Amino acid sequence: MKILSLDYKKYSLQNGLEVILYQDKSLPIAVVNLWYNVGSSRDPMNKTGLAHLFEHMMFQGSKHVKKGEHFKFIQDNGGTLNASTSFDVTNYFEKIPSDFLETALWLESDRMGFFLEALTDETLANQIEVVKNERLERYDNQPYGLTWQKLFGLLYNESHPYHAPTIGLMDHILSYNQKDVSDFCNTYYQPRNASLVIAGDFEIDSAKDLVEKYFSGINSSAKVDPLNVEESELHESKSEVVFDSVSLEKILLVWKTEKIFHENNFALDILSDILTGSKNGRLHNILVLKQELALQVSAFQYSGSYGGFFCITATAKPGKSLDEIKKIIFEELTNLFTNNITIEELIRSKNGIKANFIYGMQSLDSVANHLNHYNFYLGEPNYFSHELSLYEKVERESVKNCAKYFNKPFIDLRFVPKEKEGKV
Amino acid sequence: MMTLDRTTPPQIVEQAKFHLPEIEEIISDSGMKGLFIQKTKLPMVQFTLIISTGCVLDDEGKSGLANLTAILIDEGAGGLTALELNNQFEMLGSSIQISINHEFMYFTIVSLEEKFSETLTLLSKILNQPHFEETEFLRERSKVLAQLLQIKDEPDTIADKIFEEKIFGFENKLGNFNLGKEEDVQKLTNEDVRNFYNSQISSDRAGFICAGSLDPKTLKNLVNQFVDNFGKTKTSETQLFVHPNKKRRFYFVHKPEAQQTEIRIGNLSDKRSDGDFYAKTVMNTILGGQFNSRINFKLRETKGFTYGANSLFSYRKERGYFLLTTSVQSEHTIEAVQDTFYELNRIKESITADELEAAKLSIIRRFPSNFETYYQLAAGLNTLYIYDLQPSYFDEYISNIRSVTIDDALNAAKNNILDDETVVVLVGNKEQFINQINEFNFDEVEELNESGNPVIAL
Repeated sequence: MKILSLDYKKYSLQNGLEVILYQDKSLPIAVVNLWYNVGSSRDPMNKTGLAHLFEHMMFQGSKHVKKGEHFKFIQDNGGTLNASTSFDVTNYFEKIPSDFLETALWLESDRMGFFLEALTDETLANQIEVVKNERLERYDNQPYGLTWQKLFGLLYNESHPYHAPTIGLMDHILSYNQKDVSDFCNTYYQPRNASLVIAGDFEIDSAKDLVEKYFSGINSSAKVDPLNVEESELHESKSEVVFDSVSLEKILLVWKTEKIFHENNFALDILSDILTGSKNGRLHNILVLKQELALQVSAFQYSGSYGGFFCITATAKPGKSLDEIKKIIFEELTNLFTNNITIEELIRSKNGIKANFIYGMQSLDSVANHLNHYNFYLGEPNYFSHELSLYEKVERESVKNCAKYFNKPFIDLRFVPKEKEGKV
Repeated sequence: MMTLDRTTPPQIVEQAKFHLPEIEEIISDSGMKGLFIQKTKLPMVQFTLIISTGCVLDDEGKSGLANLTAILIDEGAGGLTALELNNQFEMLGSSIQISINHEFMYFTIVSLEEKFSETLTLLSKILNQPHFEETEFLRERSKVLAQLLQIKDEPDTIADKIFEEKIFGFENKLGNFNLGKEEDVQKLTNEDVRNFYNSQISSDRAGFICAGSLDPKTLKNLVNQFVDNFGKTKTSETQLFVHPNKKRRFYFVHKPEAQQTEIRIGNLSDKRSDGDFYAKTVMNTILGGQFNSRINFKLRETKGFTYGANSLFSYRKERGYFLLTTSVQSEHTIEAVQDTFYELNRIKESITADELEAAKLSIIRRFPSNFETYYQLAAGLNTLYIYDLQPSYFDEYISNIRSVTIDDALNAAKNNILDDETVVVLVGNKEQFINQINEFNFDEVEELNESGNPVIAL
């Protein structure tokens, strides 16, 4: 499909920084999207959350940009900006008026090359407090807030890079020091460990000149090798009940699947859609509509560089049993894998996926981020059409073959009102 | 390596040029007003039908009715069951979302252009022939009751809900909570839903907005064919007035195990069309509208009390409010409230020329990026529609922002951030703040439970 095939330029600077340029002049705006090949999978075992804390520190100033100025420069010029940390990567992005592109590159290059000169005990202490509050707000003080921490703890053993949550454990967050931050910076924040996408309204030649001007003088240090992870299967099913400040009980059933862009993931995505993607999703239909056991049910496939899993989660209506919900989920999985999905279910799911690919091209930030995403995992930024074709190639049999993941040990994680502690 | 001078930021040599998209007004055969922007970048359509009805029209003792009607209206229609209807949308790759707020009900469709006509036939069934079966009603009502139970665990939702109830007052329905009160929802019947539909859902109180790749003539024809002339009634809209409560009021909900306190501070304010909208927008950008605004910079970047704090003006048709929102570590609750009040007063006394220029530049230079996605275009049209603004609003937006002076911004703060009408809501561990509350000289102090009902009067 033509609109999913982007004309882009990709090259590398001598210091190893990968650069991807994509021109779109429909509005006078540009997006700078910079991915560093480092996520929480690189956190030291006793310093979980360090990659995420580092992301915060990148906004605290660099040699030529004072604390607060990074945000101020961008926002005072009508830009928007943010960053995020996942298991595998940390990304930084700005959407700016196109005449501001040079300033955005000046800012990004300054913190890539000259971050440590501005690192102080004061800025570190401040951001430790901020991250502590982020953890309190989004995890500890939220109903079901510990879901992912508990799940990853059960799903991956301690030596696995996905064992701890990206935000980090609270006692680790409070323990970071300047050396942790500077060691992390010296190892991972270097040009050869990053890829820069510039998308939007600019001239290719002048963008190349600007990238050369601001980034070519930054030296790279030692190459970062991929982690050597032995992804093991779950040998036995594990379960945990968390007593939480919640009124409604919730269950997560999770099976290990495949790493990102594995050929079976496209069938697993379609499976999740057929199970819970809409009112017609099989589990939604049974659990929410017909039997009225659950308030909501959802299923999804998640994959990263070092592992993947398939999760089905349901929140029980008051007085309804999680055991009953679990039983029905397993019965429906058996039914689906025995009798297979219908042709109509497959077409419906593919139609939705195709439409969403098109809708997804609306926003320049999303396009830029996808270019980096595809480049990071596959080495090819323009993979939109190809990825869609992989979904279109999924057949009923490929969904049925996913049964092999569900015949294995799994995680049963439940959240139950704390008033029930000692009674369950 | 160091030959490049990085000490000074690059100069902007050329100002980016932006041309506003053209807005077309389309009137359907029956007189329904629509606003349209054609954008051909992608072969898609974002279409929203807007009906002037919402939870302010829930009768006494029937709160939650508008919401339940919005939920049930597509649970079977035009001879198709809920699942059949949903299946047809999905087979087209289209989506429909039906939502409700205080004053409007929205039917939002996203569709590929080639499927838009077929998608509208489904919308037509929903608008004209909803089934409202008893089975669906009982199921969806019980889900709403479960949601009402669930939100009692969410400190942020509790704080938001109580703030709005207290700002607008119980006697006024502008403070109604979408989902309704538990005791009311339990008593709602399917007949209530049918009555609400019959009295509220009609094209004479509807309009539409659309951003899409199709041409305006086609859109008009499709609207006339599928969406025009639905519903039976010619009911007049209720006008709602709110009388300001001239008291400083403090409400709190005790959550003994909370590690953070949710903080809401604000007051009733004017409606959007009142004169100082642009001055308020600029002033709030300096105060709390973005990351490097005064309040976030102090509470987060200087003191580390919070993950974030922001302030805003929210507008209903007849009144609006000013609100500061944050969530802070429990032991810093009082200091965070003190700091916030300090900043709410300081903004009335002092704004520097640099701050004013930075805020104006920020708003003006962000303006083009509000017109990027089909969703954003539709959101812009929605603003024009619901506040009844002239199509020239966007043409004049930048010059209106540019003309705001320091005095305008100071006056906007003085006239809209009202110390003697301030409402503070805290949800957290009261042991961390209750003994120091006296220093703020509130006229009323009240402890509430998670539902917003009084626990004890202090």
